[in-house]
Amino acid sequence: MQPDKFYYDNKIVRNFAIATIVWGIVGMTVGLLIATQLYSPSMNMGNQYTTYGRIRPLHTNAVIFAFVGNAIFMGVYYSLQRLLKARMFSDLLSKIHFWGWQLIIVAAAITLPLGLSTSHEYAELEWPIDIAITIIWVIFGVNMFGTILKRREKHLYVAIWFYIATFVTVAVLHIVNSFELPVSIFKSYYVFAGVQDALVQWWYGHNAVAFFLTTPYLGMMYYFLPKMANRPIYSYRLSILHFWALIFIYIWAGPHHLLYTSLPGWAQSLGVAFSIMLIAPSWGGMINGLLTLRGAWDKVRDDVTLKFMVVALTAYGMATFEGPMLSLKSVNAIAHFTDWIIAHVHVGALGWNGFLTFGVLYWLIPRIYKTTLYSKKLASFHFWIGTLGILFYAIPLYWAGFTQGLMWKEFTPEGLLKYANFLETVTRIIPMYIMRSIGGAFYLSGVIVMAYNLFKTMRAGKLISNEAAEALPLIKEANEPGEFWHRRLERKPMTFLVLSLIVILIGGMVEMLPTFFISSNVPTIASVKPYTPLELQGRDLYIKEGCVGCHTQTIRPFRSETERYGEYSKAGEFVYDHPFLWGSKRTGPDLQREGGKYSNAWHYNHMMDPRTMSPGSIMPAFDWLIDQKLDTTNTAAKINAMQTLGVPYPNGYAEIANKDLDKQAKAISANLAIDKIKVGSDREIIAIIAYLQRLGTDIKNKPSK
Amino acid sequence: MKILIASFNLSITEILIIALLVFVVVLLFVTIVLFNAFKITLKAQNNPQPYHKYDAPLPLAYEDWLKQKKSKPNIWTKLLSLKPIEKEEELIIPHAYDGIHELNNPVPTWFNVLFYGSIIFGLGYFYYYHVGEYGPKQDQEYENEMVQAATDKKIFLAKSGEKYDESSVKLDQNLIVSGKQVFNTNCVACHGEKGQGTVGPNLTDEFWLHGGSIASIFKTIKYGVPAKGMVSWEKNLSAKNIAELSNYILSLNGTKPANAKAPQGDVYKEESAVDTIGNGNTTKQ
Repeated sequence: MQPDKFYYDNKIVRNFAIATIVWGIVGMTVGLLIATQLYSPSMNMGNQYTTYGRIRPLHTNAVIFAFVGNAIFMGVYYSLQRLLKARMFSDLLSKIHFWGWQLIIVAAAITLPLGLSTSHEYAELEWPIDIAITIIWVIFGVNMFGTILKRREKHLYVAIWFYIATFVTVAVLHIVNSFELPVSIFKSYYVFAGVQDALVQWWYGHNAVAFFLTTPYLGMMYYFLPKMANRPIYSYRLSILHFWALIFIYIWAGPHHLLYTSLPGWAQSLGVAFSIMLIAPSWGGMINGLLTLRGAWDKVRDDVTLKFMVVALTAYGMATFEGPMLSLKSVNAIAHFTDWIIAHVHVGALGWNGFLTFGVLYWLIPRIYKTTLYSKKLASFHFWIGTLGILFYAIPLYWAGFTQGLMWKEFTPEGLLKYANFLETVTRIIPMYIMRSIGGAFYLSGVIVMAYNLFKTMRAGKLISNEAAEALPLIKEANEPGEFWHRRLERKPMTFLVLSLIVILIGGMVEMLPTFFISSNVPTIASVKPYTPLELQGRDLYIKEGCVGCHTQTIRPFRSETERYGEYSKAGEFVYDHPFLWGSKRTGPDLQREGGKYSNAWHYNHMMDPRTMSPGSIMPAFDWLIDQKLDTTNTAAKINAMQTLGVPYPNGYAEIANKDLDKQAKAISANLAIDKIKVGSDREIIAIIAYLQRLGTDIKNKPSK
Repeated sequence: MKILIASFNLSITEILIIALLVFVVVLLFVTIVLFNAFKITLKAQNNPQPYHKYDAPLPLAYEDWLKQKKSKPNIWTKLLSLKPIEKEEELIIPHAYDGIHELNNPVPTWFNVLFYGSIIFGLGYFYYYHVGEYGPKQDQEYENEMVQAATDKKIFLAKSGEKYDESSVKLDQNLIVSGKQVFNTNCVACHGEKGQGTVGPNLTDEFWLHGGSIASIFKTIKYGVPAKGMVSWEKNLSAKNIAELSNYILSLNGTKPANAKAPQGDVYKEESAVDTIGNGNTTKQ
């Protein structure tokens, strides 16, 4: 039989590689900027477009979906073709995929600083972009499955199992977490509210880590590591066990982000139990990788790409052990909402995702350019400055998180909070924030050196756009008798796809369906009423300014929190919250019971310049809220949308809502005038004050009222 | 020597006994050596053998030594239940993907222990809290914590003997100095550095919104006036702090700072207050 002659498409790989480098530098620079804002509020640069609340989502989206996203596509497009002995299914689809994805990133980079945000973490992009993501993701899937179907290799290698699981799961996660009701072209409300919305978001958020930052990277590790080390994969059977266990168990662990909230206890416990079960399946990938290097450790000493891979696998192992430990309720009680969590995710992001990406780039670019790396010395420098950067980043933040977490909980013998002033616990950890930003600067400078090194390499060589290859065509064979069951499955990509889909759906359905349909899981409270039109507008400003990035709205049932903030949160208080705004980090204090705590004038002054009311505060000033007029043209549309979602406004209320809005705004403006503050009732600040003053007050009213 | 003996606190008899024991051990050692020497001599006499030179084995080439060394499983390979790397050939699965081979190594035992162990833990955890309902739910946990805290507080207050509340608080000049510190850390943001009033009202005039007696001020600070934006400090300041603060605020009366805020509320006058805080109050109307 004659072998087929065909060509691998290297150009698309190169394009994704360049996008990875460029967006990586952009995303990390924004990261460094927000790191400095945390100790020097002037770095917010005095305008709304560069203020922390708006560009923090820009950082997370850029590094996750632009840097890591492009790196995934680079790795998949390179390895998939070679593992299947086939060119990508369609060059056109590859091109649409590439440019579509870059456009989405550009759209994100424009809309997020403008404050167009849905507030769901790592899913902040508004609904038109969500639809674009869905389309491009499906194009990627079609292109991948087209290639799989026209392959010349009978069985699918373990890397491709991970790619398939990534594709189906991300599709499911993205679609379910984007159930939004559009209000206008740039504004939408999530269909789910409160506790349910929180569950959906953290099912998504946790599994974005699992299926965007972990499974595709494990797939890449399974291809690139044995290639680099020229060693066989340690254990095929371990691959099978840890693959299926990982994708099944990961999906259940989302609720560990909501421990001690008003999420039903049984769902929280499922999150804890499955997080613990996740240690072994996660480590399966690490040991299969590290043991693949068995007999090749002498190469690690000389080869910088392998060094990157070893640190990546080690960071992966540490982060996946720490994760389950953080899910234990007693540990979580201290660590959650602190910088400990920031340190934890950055060990994963900088170590695992970053270093693995760098390793692959250093290995792959010289190959597709048929040349050698421009400078091994620079690569080695990158490795050391990067490792140092991770240490300087993570250690101070662990320290900061631990310190602050304990300070929040400390009582004096008189039974009072030792650090009753929240700010005291912030100023204590400022030095750690400074050190963290130094670590980040180290890491970023390494990446810039890498970019220089790789561009020099590209210029020295010439891109082999179409790399010649040959392989025997695939002949259809009947089932082999006595074939191992999994081996048979590896020949059937469609069955594999469906099976992995079923496996990942189970956990989410078991946790979500009862929370949605069994009312005892969210007990209602009669005194909780919908927001007034002004408060609703204020809430949307709260979302727009990204307040949720630093302020939580969920008080846990601890003495240290009820003493500091007031009564702990009840599920029934959030039933009209589309979306929920519980947050995940307390850079500032919790705001769930903020209503009535301070005067309107206090809030006004505090928004204009937080340091007048709280000297030493690191909160940015929000003075533009005073200059800008509140857009009330959309009030009716917003009320209508809320009614569609089941919020009980009276019939026809949308038309008269602005009247109520005016009345409430004038009252606040008059109240401010008493304190000699002259501000028009049509300003944004009035709406946000109205919202803050409403927060958490409903349960204090008697139900009869 | 004497010092040494002294430091161990030994009597002469004890030293002698130790010396004897050491001597016995040495003697035993010597006896064994002598016994072996006699045995060998006797053997050689009975069965004489010619003397020959000892041939040291040739040193191994580095590569051969390396091979020999590697074939011994070290502690790591044992722990990870690894097969020796030379036997890898037997484990290779014939098929390769783009040149990548896979080995048919078994899943390590310790991995299985960890994997199934964590599953058992997970099941047990869920059973403990939600099927058997042995463990406390989070609201129960919270109630237990609050009860414990209340008990601890009671015990502490009973011990310390200091007690301040709105019914018992009294004017006390000794508290003014420490009250100033409390004021500076907590109150200046709203009431100004000198109590002249910014967001909050002026505290230096004789006009009071919620009463100007020491008890009223104590109460206002403790519970706050949420409707007017005065925060409740009950959870942030100890009762003693509030008493100090109340005294300090009363001491500000009549200080007439610059940029004072216009009066709010009603005039409050209480003879005892004027008498005790002797800082010029008598001059006011």
